[in-house]
Formats: sequence, structure tokens, C-alpha cells
Amino acid sequence: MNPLLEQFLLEAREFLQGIGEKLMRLEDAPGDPDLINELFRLVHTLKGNTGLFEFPEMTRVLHAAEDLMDAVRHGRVAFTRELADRLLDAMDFVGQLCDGLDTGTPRPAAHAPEAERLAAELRRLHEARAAEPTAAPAPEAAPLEDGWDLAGIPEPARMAAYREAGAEGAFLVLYRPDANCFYQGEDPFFHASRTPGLHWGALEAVQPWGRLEELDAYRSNLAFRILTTAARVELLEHFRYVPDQVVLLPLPALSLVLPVGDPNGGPVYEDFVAEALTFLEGGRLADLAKGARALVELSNPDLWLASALRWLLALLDREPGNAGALRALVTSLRTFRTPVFAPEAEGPEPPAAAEGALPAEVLELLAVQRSILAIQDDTPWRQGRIQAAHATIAACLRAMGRPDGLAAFLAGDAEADPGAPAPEAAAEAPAPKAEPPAEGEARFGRRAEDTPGAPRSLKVDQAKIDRLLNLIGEMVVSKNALPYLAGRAENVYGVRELSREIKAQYAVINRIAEELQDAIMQVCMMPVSAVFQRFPRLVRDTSRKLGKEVNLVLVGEGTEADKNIIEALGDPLIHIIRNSLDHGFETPDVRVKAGKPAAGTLTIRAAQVSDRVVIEIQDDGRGIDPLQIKRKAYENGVIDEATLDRLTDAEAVNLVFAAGLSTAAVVSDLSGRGVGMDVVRAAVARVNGTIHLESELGKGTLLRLSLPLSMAVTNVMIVEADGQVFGVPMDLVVETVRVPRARIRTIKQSLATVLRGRIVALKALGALLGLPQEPRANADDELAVLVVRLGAEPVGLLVDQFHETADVILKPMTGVLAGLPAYAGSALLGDGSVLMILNLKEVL
Amino acid sequence: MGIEYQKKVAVFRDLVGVDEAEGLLEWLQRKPAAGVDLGPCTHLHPANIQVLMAAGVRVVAWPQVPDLRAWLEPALTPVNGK
Repeated sequence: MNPLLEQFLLEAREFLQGIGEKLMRLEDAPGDPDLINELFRLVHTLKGNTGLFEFPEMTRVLHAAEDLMDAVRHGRVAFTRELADRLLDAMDFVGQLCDGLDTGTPRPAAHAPEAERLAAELRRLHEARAAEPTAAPAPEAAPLEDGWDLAGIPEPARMAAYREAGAEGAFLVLYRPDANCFYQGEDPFFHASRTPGLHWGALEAVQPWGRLEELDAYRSNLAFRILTTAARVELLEHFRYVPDQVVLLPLPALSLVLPVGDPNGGPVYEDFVAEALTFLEGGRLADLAKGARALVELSNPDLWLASALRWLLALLDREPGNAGALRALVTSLRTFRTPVFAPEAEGPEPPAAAEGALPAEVLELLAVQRSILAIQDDTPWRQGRIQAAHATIAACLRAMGRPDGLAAFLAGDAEADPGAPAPEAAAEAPAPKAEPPAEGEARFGRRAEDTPGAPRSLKVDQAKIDRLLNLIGEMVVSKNALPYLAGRAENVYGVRELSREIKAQYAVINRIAEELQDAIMQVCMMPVSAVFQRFPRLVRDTSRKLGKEVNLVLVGEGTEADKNIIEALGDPLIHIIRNSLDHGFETPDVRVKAGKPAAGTLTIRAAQVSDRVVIEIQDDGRGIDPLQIKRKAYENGVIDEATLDRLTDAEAVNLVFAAGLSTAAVVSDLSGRGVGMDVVRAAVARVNGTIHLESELGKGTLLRLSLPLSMAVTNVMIVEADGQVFGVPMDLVVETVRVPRARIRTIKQSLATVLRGRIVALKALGALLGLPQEPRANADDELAVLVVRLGAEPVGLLVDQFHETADVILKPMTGVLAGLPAYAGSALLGDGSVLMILNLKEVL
Repeated sequence: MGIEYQKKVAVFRDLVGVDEAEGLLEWLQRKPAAGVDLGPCTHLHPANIQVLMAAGVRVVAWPQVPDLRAWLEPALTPVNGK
């Protein structure tokens, strides 16, 4: 899972919980504007977050929820318990999608119908209330009725669809892409032509075409009509990104049976109709087919009659058992009118019900409906219950051919009615209609809390982590006391055995402590990529806005540092990058004139250097003119005249960090308000970081941010000079050697020696620190040289004595001591003494 | 690839992308009597289709790809056209 998604899931859960809480509280205090605003904000943010990923289902549901909350917020819709229920349902659904993503079973497409249903419910609440408080649910959107001209679809296509139509029948899809879809890189035509089960499609104009001169080629004015036999699920899946632009009209297979053609001319069919009816009565379908086939061959294929006969053959082929439909079609041959098929359900004929009685299944269904209606309570979904019952009963009656009998039934006398005609297919009809929603309820009505799947991430208060860090720090220090103890056991008390055992125990504790420390550090560490990942977009957008070409190179994104440090870095870095893009880089033509490649390169490099993270931002732009800076600084009163003369160029360019200095001639919306770099420096300083700038006019600028790794346990080498011990960070140490005094040469005033064929400059640590004592040699007249690497060159430090290495918690100098640049910090040693850690960069 | 504008006919080849629509529109405005040859075309972006539809353009040759032709023929035939 990518980190962004991980983060999203983590946040999404929080939001969902927040939304749930707010909804609960709103139920107690409906109309609290603060709560409603807060709720809207949460839903809005969550929706925005989902936009980062391709979760159209999630976005759709949240979008509907957002719209609804917006309406509530503006008082267009009152907050009710039903509304809260729907919102909670929607949030549970989102939660389930999140769980699915978390457990690595992301098949959100399978949830598309559910998402659509939830979104529709939310929208219905919104629209119904907004339009009129008492209005019935908005009718199914069918704004394109006149667009459903089935007869306009060529007969072969319709016939093919008819033959292939499944249990669901066929679908007519009206797909009206968004007018701006071309700008979003969509190709609706391609999409439409890839519709599964496509039999026929047509292109239409939504608005009549105006004058050609006024046409906007990139504003879509097209609509697609598609006849398909794919299942609804497949279609929803296919159009899952544009569900609001698609209308699905289910077509029962029989509705495709529409003979078309010239009604005039041709032989008289009266005889055939009479004959066909006889065949039908007698069940002699083979004869009927034969007769029809013979007649088709005789007729002009363009005639209405020929078309009807072709349909008759198709019908005989597909559902020879549907006598009613066959009869209707045959009869229509007399009238040349489109046959009217009774709304019969398809499927096997039910066993003929006894005259005068309703089939047992229908009675059962009706009884259930009645008991549902009899429930006397005041739940918010009562209205829906009545509607559901109504729909079920209406379906039963329709199947029995008695669409007007509902009122009579509700009065309770349907059972008593002996004259009810035997339905042809009553039993099967309502059942499949009722099932899908019931099943859906069972599957999705489940509350999110019921599903196991605990979140894998833990959010911990920063204070707790800090406490852990402090504790492990103390542990490291007290662990370091053990070797001293071992030394004392041996030297003071003379128990060698005990000393050895203490040392063995120390080794174990040391290992565990190190691992523990590592583990805790890991908790707080974050790769700098968390900040860096924003930059490609930033650079791209900004440089485009400025009309510059800039390539961004990111190096060392895996470098890790404390979370606090990383987070504190974000804003300063953005500032720096903007500055660099705005002031640093030249426009391509200027660059080409200056002999540089048209596209500039911005390199952002992160690396860990000893106990610090160093981030370098380097551009190859125009660089900073020290003279201009000096003048500006003088004009703005940042420096006085005396300073003006004294400043070196390198110092001058670092004046950009002074408050109130902006070098850009024009203040743009990106940078140049003079609040840039000093804010950056302040932000970096807050996390004990330093910032340094190097610039060469015409060549580019390099900004170096150096930040602590936070609680880095530093491995130091302890050395002695003039009776004092000092720590030197281990990663600077190259080697420790003893050099005979005779081999130390003096070059002018500097000391040097040759180590493995290389000249190494030597400096006495004591002298560097202002200690009076000369380096002491040992009995063999050898001097202890600690070779450290600083920059490219190794430097030898003359010390009196080497001691052991130790892990210490480096505490930065605070208070008055903070002004001593020679020391990086202090640390406690195992015997309780304080070790000063040298900051060799400053000392040398 | 793309559209080849000849003297009186624009020939659509292979895939005609969205970028072509603007040029096509201009060309058709300049030459209202011109025709289009869709024969070698395998797919064209709907932006182009709507330009053709709006212009009521004369189609010299229909696409050889049957599916594409089935879509385009009714839409671009003046009798059925709107």
C-alpha cells in the first residue's frame, strides 16, 4: 500500500468517527449551527480527500452527503433523524470500502450499485425537502421520454437484442457526457462504443447545432443512445465514473418487438391470421413457423407485415411458450397496429391455478404485506414501508391483470372475492422484484462497527512518545554505568570474576537497549519524502505559471528524520522553492542567451550527515548579486554604512535572511513581499536548524539547511586534552594513530605529517580550544593523532590520550551555553560526569 | 494518423485525436462545400464527430471499420440528421 493511501485510510477513519459523533450529538441538539458546520466541514474534507484516489463510489456517496449537509447548513433542509440515519448508512458504507482497501480486497466496483442507491437516497432527501416538505420522493428521472423511440432502432439490432436479452431484458442507455468532458481527457465516444452487450448505438446532438462559426468544438454537445443486453451490474460498472450522466431504461424483451415498415400493400393476410390462430390454439407451433416463413419469403421485406412476421418467427424461436404474446402479435397482423403485450412475467408457466382462488404464493405475500402494514409504531421509515407494501401488492395485481384492484384488496376482501381470474404468472412476478433489495439490506445494512477488521495503525499522543524517548535516553545512560561498575569491581574490590560477569550482563542489556532505542526512533522517524512528494507538483505548477522551464531532481528522499523536524520543514522548503523559481531561475530565452540550457534544474538533496539532516536546494539560475543585496539592505536600513563596506560577498548574500529584504523588483503573488527568507530562517531555527546560502552570480544558488535528527543517540569517541575529556562524533573519525614526534614536520607555522603517502595537516586540540598545555607524548615519544574527516580533507587532531567510545544522548546547549559554537552539545557519561561534544566544524 | 487536408476533401486516417477538432472546424468553415473521406479512419474523437455533425458535412467515403460506420452513418447522413 502506498503511504498516501495509508495516510488517507487513517484520516478517513478519523473523519468517519468524527462524523458519527457529530451526527449523534446533532440528534440531541438538532439545529446547532456549529455542529452542522463542523459536520459539513468533515464530510467536505473527506470527500476532497477521496478525490485524490480513484474511488468513484466513495466520492459519489460523499458528494451526495456533502450536498445534503450543505442544504442543511443553509437551512434548506431540516435535520431529521431519517437524515441522520441515511448519513450514518452512507458513512458505514464508506467505512466498509475503507476496510476493503485496508485488507487488500479493493473491489469497490462491486459496490457501485450500492453506492448509487445510497447517493440516490441522500439526494432524494435533499431534493424532496428542498422542493416541498411534504412532496413524495422525486420520481425516477425520466427526462428523455421522447428520446426513447424504440421504433427508430433498426430492426436487425432490435431483433439481435431480443434474442440475446437475458432475464433482465435489455437496456436502453442514454449517455449524455458532461459538456466539459473533453477537457478532462475523456473520450465518451470510445467509452460508449465499448459498452458491453452493445447491439446498436446512435449519436445525437443535445442542443440543435447552431451556426458553424459559433460552434465550440471542445464543448460536448453529444448524447449517445445505446441498446444493450448486458446486465445492469455490468453497465453500472462500465459507466461507474459517470453515473450521473447515464440513464438506464430497462426494456422488457417484448418491448423490442415492434414491427415497422410500410403498412400498405402486399397480400391479404386475413387467411393467414385465422390459420395462425388455429395453429396457436392447437399448439401446432411448428406449422405456424412454417407458414410464417413461407409468407415472409413472398412479402416485400420493407412491408410492415413482413417485419411483423419476422418478429413472429423470432418470438416462436425464443419463447414459444408465451401464447399470449404470440396471439397478440398474430392479431396485430389484422390491424397493422403495434401489438400490445400484456405485462406478463417471463419464465415457465406456473401450474394453472384453480379457478376462483388466488395462488398460495400470492396469498402468502399479501398476508405478509398486511402484517407489515398493521404494525403500529411511529418509525421514520413508516412511509417507506407503506410504499414497499404498495409496490408489492400492485405488482401482484398487475400480474393478475387487475391493476385496479388495490383498493378493494386493502379493504381486506380480496380473499373473499371468488371471481378473481386465474393469473398466468403471478407467483414468480413479485418475488424476484422483492428479493434484490432484501438481500442488499442484509449485506449492507450491517453497521460498520459489526465488521471485524481493527485498524492496523495506532495514533499515539506525541507526549507519550516523548516520554518514551526520555526514558530510553536515561536507560542508555544508566546502562553505560555498568562498564564503570565492572571496572570498579576489578580495580577497587579486586573481584575479577564479578567484573567479567557484569560485563557479560552489560553486553546483553546493551543489545536490548540498542534495539529498544532503534525501535523507538523508528516510531518517530519519517522519510523526507513525506515533504518532498509535494514538490514535483509545486514546481510544475509554479514554473508553468511563471513561464519558466524547470526540471526538478530529488535526491535522497529516503533520508529519515524525526517527524517533528520533517513537518517543520514543509513550509520553509516550499518558501525556498517558490523563491528559487520566482527569483532564481531566468526565463528560457534569457537562459539561452546566457549560454545555459533552456530548462533550469532545481536539485533538492537530502542526506544525513552525522547527527544532522542536511537538505540542499540548488538551482542553476541567475544567482544573487551581492552588490545589489548590499545596496538593498542598506536602503532598507538592515545594515549601516560601516557594515556595508565591511561585508564580504559571501556574507552579503546571506543578508537575504534578514527581515524586510526583498530583492525582487516586482512583488508577485508567489514571493517577493520581503517576508520570505527571514521567515524561513526563523522556522528552521525553531527546530534548532541552521540555514546557509551560497550563491554565485550567473551560476546559481545553493541553500543548505542543516537540521538535527532530534534525539539522535550519538556514538562518540572520547579523547583527552589537558586533563579534560571531550567527545568527537564517531562518524567524523577516520582513524586514531600514534605518530612519532620526529615524523611531524613544520610547514611555515602549521604542523603536518605524512600518513600512508598523504600529507595530513595536524592541529593541537588544546591550542584550538585555548588550553595552555602542549600535547603530551607517551613514553615512546609518540603523539596521539585523531584523524577526522572534515569536508574533503582529513585533519589530524593532536590529543593527549584516547579513551573508549560511548553512546551518548546529545543534548544541545541551552541558555548561556548556546552561544558557544565550539560545542555541539553535552552528554552524561555512565559515571555521572558531563562530556562536552565538540563541534569540529566550528573548532577547526 | 490524423487528418490530411486535400483540396476538397479531408482524409481521416487511423486515430483522429481530440486536437484535430479545432483545425477541422476552421477548415470546414473555410470550405463549406468540402467533403470528408472517413475510409481509412479507425476511431475519431467525439469532438471531431460533433464538428462533422454540426457542419452537416458531405461524407465521401464511410469508415471501413463496420462498427464505426454503424455509429457514424446515421448521425452524418443528411436525411436522418437533425
